Amino acid sequence: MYQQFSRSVVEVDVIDPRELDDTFERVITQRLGVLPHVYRRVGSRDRFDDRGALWAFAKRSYLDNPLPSLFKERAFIHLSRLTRVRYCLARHSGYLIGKGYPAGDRSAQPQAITELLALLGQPLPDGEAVEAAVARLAAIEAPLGIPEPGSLREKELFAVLSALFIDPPRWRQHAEWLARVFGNASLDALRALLAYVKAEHFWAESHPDVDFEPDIAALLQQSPEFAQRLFGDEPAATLIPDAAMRGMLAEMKRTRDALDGLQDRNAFLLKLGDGLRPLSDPEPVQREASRLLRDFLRADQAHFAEIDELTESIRIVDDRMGEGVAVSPDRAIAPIRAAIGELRTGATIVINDVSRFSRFDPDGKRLCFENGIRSLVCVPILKDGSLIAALSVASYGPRRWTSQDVALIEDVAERVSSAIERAHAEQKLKLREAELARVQEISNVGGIDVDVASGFLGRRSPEYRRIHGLPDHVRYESHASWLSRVHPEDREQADRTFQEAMAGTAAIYESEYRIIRQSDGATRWIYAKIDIERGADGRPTRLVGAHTDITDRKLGEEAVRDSEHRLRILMEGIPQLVWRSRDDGEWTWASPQWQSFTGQSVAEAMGLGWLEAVHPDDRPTAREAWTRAAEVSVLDVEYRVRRASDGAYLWHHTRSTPVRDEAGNIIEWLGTKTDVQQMKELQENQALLVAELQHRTRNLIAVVRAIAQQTMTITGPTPAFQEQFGRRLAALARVQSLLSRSEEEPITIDALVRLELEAIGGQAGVPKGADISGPPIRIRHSIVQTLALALHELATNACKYGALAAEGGSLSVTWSIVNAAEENTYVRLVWLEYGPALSEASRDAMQGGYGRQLIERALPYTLHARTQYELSENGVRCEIEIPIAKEKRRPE
Amino acid sequence: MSVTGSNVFQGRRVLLIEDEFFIAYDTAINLQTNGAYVIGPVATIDEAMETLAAAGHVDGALLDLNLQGDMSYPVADALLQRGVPFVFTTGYDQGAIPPRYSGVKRCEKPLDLVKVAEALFQ
Repeated sequence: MYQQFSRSVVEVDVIDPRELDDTFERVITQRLGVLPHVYRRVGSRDRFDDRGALWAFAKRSYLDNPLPSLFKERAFIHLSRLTRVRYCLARHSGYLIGKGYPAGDRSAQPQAITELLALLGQPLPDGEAVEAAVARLAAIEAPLGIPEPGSLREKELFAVLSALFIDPPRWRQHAEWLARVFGNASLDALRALLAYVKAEHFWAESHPDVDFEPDIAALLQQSPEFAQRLFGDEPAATLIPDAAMRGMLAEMKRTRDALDGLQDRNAFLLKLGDGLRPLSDPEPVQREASRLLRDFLRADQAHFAEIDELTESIRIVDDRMGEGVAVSPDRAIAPIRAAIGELRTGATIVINDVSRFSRFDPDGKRLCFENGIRSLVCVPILKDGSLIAALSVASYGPRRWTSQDVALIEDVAERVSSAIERAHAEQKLKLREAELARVQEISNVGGIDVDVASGFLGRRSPEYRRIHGLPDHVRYESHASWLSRVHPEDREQADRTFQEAMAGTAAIYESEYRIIRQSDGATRWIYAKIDIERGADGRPTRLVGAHTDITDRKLGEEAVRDSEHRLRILMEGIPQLVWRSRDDGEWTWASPQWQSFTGQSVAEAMGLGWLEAVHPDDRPTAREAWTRAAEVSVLDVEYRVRRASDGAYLWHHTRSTPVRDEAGNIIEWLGTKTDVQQMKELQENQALLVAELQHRTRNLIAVVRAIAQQTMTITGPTPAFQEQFGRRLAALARVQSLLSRSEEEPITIDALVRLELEAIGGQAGVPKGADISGPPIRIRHSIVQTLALALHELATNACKYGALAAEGGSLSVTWSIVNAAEENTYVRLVWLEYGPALSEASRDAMQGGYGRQLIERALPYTLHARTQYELSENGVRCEIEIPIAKEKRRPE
Repeated sequence: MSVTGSNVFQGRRVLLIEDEFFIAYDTAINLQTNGAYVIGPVATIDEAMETLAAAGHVDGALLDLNLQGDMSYPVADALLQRGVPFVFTTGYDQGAIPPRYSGVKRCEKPLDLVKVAEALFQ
């Protein structure tokens, strides 16, 4: 039986513990038998301290509460089990079994530990238990006293108190039942007790540093059963009758577990981070994360599944997670379409027991059973709003997944997917870097990246190192190191260019300079082009760019420059006036020779300006030449150009051919004007000389003839000599005349024959009865004179004695080429006279004499001719065959 | 007709190379008149070479520089090789003759046989 406490309560003044710590703690120790940690000072003395208020509350509502001491203590323990405030549960368990005084009552008989354990082992009431208790209490008419410890009624009272404790407004009605059964005074005392229990719970929980007192710690060690009851993993929430209450309790438990598990979880995440960091490929990251997660949660399987909704396939990243369970690496989505749909919304699927999970497709359920999976958590991994993978953790038995579990799995999924993103990005970066390196190598470009803030220490790409001949291990290099490699002759300029670019506002730095390549000492040309990134203050912050080895190009340029230089020297050095022109004769360039000859500046000569220097009479010719030039691709014309020094117009021969590109299009014309004035003058002189020579030759012959005639008038009259000598010299003179004109008018047999016959016919020309026919055959100069003289003799005889001397006679002169295709080609000329019978005198005259000698001896001697001269009664037949193929010459 | 009083060509075997019939004919008679035995005359390089090869001993030669449009240097070379004294008979200037024949006398037409004889035999 509980002793009924009198209401005469000792009034205790509230002590200010800041002044009287010792007194305060002594008072408490006296009353409770121990000094509980809740009444120990927390922190320094100047902090707000309301232990006094709590103590006052404790005394009024708990210690001095008129309810029986053991009841109060047992109720305290029971209520502490609901909220699992372990400190209070342990401390008040201690009071109950004599560690200190039960409810501060020295006189109260402490209970045995077995009684305590029985109390702690009681099932916590659920909704049904509360309702049942209330129903039983309601059936009792008479007022009751506070029930005995361990009695059934005590259990019933505890059940109702539990409800009142957790959710007072909701159980207001039940409080009325209590008042009816136990009386209003008891109800007030019970309410006061509940209030204090809550206050102390709050106190203890809000001071997580409050530890167990030594006596409790010793008790926990002595009685493992006690410890087990105290910390056993009872899922208290299930026993709480109401969902709201359950939720609240669960939340309280979660908070507590969170606190408890925080260290573990942090440790796990740390471990996960360590495990994932060195991994750069997505698969090992997933595998390692799965393994760590499975072990930490003591689950049976954990794996990532890559989901390809397009092909409706799933690829399980790691089969080894499910040891001993056949998991096909690729599965169709179909059996778990509903689950996929749910995951797509970003929701985590939590299944405590597959067999009681209604939202699953039957096939999905079967799949789980086939793999022995009874419970699972599946967290979706979304990328840009679409489902790409899921992280699943599964157990072979039913499992109540806590929110911590779920949160952890979600956290891991999150971390892994970002780790994979990072790994993908790194992989991509590696690939890009490899590509870049290749591109750089191909194009002979070396990348450079300088973080100016860190003192121009530049990162050098592999190709940069190759170009500059740096060893492989050099990744970074200072400005000074770079500068020392620059060719001494270029160093100052290169540094100045760089410094000026840095100091200025330019966004680009460009420079060309030589370096002494470190690896082999070779001099190489470098072209640098670099982007300058500048900060808000305009100062460079970062340089990113490329170096190109342009040595080959430079050497090429040098060669081109040399060649151009030589060409220019040539063009400006030759004694011609050189120019360049467009297709229409509009000049684009004139050589210095042109400028100095004509006095025109380059600008004046440009376009058609050069025409001003051409003789006005020749300008149409000069223009016209261009229109022809386009057709025949050659410009070839002569005209006069004015010489500035004396104003004289000198003849120039202009020649040009077009310069074409590879496709054959005319790019321009390059031409020369050659001074041909002297040549022209020489040609004119030559023509004059030839004319002079002819004149003199014929004069000479005339003089010879005159001297001969005059001499003969003195030596004696020899008319026959006079006549014959005279006409032979005349014939000779005619031939000379013919020869002198041979440049313009080639000498043919026809011309020779006619010349001689016309000379005989006088004004009448070729005599009547003469028939001349034969092809046009040109004859050599060396033949002309002798042949002409022979023809002259034949013609003269014909005219004086032969066929042409009398009426009725006829003469035919015919010639042809014989053996034209062969080596011994010759011309056969046949002189045939036919007429009345010749007189004896005529025949004698024609038989001998000079003419015949000429034909029969001179022609064969000089021309290797074969001749035949026949004199018959009615005329003369003469055949002359003259070889015309030139005789072979011996080499000189 | 003797142009000299001293028969300078007496007994000499003289090769005459001249393409102009009348000049050749006239010169040959003049040489014979002056006691020479005339070999030829011939009018072309080929004939000159053949005649020279077949002629046996030759005391001297008259060589027209231009034989029907060809320069007669091959014949000159052959004569030099044989050691036969000769003169160029020509209307050309001295300058037109190559330097290697600087030792060969040049006699302008119409020929003065006394000068020819001096050039050949003194």
